[in-house]
Amino acid sequence: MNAAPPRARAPAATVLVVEDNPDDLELTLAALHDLAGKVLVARDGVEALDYLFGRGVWLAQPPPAPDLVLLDLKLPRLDGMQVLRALREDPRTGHLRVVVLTSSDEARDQEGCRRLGVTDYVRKIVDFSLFRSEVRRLWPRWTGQAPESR
Amino acid sequence: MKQGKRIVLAGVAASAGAAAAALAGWYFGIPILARLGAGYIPMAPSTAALLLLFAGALGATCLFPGRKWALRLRRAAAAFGTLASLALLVLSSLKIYIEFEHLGLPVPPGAGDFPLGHMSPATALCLMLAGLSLLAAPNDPEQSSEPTPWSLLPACMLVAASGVMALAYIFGSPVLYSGGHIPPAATTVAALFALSVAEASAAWPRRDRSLAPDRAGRREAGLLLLTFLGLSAGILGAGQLSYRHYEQHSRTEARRQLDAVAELKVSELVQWREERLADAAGFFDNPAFLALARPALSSAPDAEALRLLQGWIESHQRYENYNRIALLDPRGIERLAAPADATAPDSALVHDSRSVLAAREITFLDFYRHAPDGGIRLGLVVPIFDQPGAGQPLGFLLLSMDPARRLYPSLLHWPIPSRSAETQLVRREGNEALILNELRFDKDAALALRFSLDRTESPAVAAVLGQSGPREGVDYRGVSVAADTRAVPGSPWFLVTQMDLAEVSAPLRERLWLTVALMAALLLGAGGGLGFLWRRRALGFYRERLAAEDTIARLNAGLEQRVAERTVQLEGAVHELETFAYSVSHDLRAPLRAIEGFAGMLAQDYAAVLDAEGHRLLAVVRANARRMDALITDLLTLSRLTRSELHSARIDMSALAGEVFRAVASPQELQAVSFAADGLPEAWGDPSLVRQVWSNLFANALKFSRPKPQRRILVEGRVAGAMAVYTVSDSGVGFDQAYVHKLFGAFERLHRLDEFEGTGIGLAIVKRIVQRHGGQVLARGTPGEGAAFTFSLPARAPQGATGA
Repeated sequence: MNAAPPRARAPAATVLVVEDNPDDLELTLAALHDLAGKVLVARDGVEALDYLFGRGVWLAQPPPAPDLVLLDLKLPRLDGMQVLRALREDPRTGHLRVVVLTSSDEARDQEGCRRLGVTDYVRKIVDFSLFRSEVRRLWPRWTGQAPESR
Repeated sequence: MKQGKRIVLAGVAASAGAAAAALAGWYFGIPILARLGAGYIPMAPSTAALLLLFAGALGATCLFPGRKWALRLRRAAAAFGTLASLALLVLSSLKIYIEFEHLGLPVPPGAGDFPLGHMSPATALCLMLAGLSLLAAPNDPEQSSEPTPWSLLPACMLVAASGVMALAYIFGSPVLYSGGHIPPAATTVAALFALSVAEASAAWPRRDRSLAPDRAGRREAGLLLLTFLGLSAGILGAGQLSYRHYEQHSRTEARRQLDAVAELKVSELVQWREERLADAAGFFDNPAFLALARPALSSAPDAEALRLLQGWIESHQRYENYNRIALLDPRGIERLAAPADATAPDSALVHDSRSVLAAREITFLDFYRHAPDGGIRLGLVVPIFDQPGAGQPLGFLLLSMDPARRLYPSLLHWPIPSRSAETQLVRREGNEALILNELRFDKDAALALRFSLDRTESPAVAAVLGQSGPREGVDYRGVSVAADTRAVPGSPWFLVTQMDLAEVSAPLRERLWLTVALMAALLLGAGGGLGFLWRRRALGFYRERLAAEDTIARLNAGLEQRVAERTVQLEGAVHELETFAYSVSHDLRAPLRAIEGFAGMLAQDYAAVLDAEGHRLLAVVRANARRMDALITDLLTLSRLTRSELHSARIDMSALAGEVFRAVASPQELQAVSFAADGLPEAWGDPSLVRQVWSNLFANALKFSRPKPQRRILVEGRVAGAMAVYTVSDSGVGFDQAYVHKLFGAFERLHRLDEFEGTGIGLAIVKRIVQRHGGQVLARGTPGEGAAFTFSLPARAPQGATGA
């Protein structure tokens, strides 16, 4: 788990990005470029949960909770849906804002995430500039800077 | 109605009808309804009641199979009827006739040998069989494919018994008519036969209808049945003919026998009389006798002459077997007699004899009763004159004979063994015929039995009336006889030879049974042979049918197994496809996204380093990545259409079409394109999929009308039968109708990519959706003029579905 250095001005929001594909991770980071304050990266579901629950390598010194979790669905070991369920079932993390970023447009994925109380479901579309503008549009809602709406 | 049931009901109706007719006949006093004709025994009311009971119970079983009440009725009727029949069988066999059998109906007393209105023991036995068969009959004859032997066996026995009795009626020799028991009535026999056929048919196992023979088989069966009927008619006819012939032959034989015996007896009698007369003549014109008689009959009889004469006639009486020989004088005083006893002469006879003297010839004294001992005698009177045959009468010789000594035995003797044949000797006495001899069945008939000449049915009367030849009549016992009559020449006698008709027809009866047995055997043989033929044909037929069914079953089993295998394979393929699509959705897009994203970043972050060509090339890379993405999206849509279920509902098509158009068209197009979709009929389908149809069609219409100045999209609809049909026409560039078959294929395009963008999947998706709804799509286009796409969807929910 590497903590990426904060870029330029540092707004308050700390973001945990859970993503296994380095290219996708880079694109996501590019999209978050001047939005997030501190960006943390987990490469699979187990790493993400270790961090969030203060287990494994984080056992000695539990880190503070992030403001936002950006979660991919297709992950090694523990997939996104399982991570989301674990977070929602634990009172310590039940309130966390979790946004699913995925390339899937399958109805069952969307439905499953909604049922688990996902904050938002955003498709990682191929057209990167469209994706970036979508992230920018929704960012205030994800970080609590705008009223949440479903 | 099934054939078995038809036979049962016909038999039931026939027997019940006969029984009801008999009861009505008794009630209304129309006896012809209970008997077949005069001279036949009528059906007893008790028989009719039991027949009605059985027929009713069997009819109810057949018409209301499986009903509890019908079952109870049948069992109760069968049990009661069987017991009643058993009781009546015992009573009738013992000749005990109870009044209860008349059931209160007015039954006249019988005029013949039997009381009327009582059940014959044969009928009672048959009714017992019928009851037993009914007791074990199947609950539902139409459903029983197993034979019911305890019902079938008594029914078949009854068929045979009533059939034989019916045959006996047909051959004119009904069963028991000459026995001591009441014979079964003709109507009873017919009703029993009908009932037995019904019961046998009810007990007969039903064949599986699916294995029933086809038309050709039925025709063949009909042909065989016709053959059998023809053969039966031939056999019956031949039997009847042969029997009648034999009957004729047998009567002729009897007649010939009677005639021959009569001839013999008459000649014997004539000879006997001649012998007697010759014997008498031995005294009449014998000078030696006269020489002794003259002194013996003189007023002063010569003792020596008397002694000699006594010796003569004594020896003559002894050797010639005369009862008595007496010598009398003209006044009738007995001078001597042999045997020389003290018996007083019969004065009346003597008186009669004196008149013979006047006649001057030998006279026969016919059968007379000898007053002193009451015996029957025949006499010969020989007048004695002083010259042989002439001169003064001296007296007369009286020779008397007892017919019991020689005549009666010789008359009684019948040359061949017979249990009823006899000979009668008759003479006329005033208006009566008098029997002269003792008879076989009446030893005291001689001179005692007489018939008025009115009784012409009596052969004796016919004889004395001078009729000669064969005849039939009723004799002194009231028994029907065959007879032959003739006069005995030279005497006042007439001869009758007779024989009971029963004896005459005795060999006939034997012959009849032989004939019936032979015919039964022939019928059985014919039936069996034809049945065997039919069975062989039927077996062949069934074998073919079974083989065909077996093949079909095997093919079906194979087919089912293949379907099951294919289904499993298909399910596997679908699952694989789903997994594949899911992977595509996730993994295939990631590299595209990287290409597009990093190319974009390159273009942006290194804008200063790149020249115009560099930027153009980067744009091409990004465009192709996006196009690949679009292709993947459409492909996934297409594959999802195959996998997902339809969630059908009623759709307001006008509203949906308008809504979709507004979503698809850009703001400028909403201004520039004239769009009309009013008054469309409702459809029944999956709203999200139908939305996709509109969307794709409108997108196409907008796209291909873009180059035209006048842009128009018109949506029309109508209902055709169960389907609603919609047409989207545009004023676009159109297409060549020759390529219409390529239009709906996936990735098929009729235009170059640089003319119109698109993946070439849109219409394939439209077609797939419409087909999944059970509709059809078709397209019509004219290059440069426009295109029209027509599709159909169900107009309403299918039967049983609910509109959600």
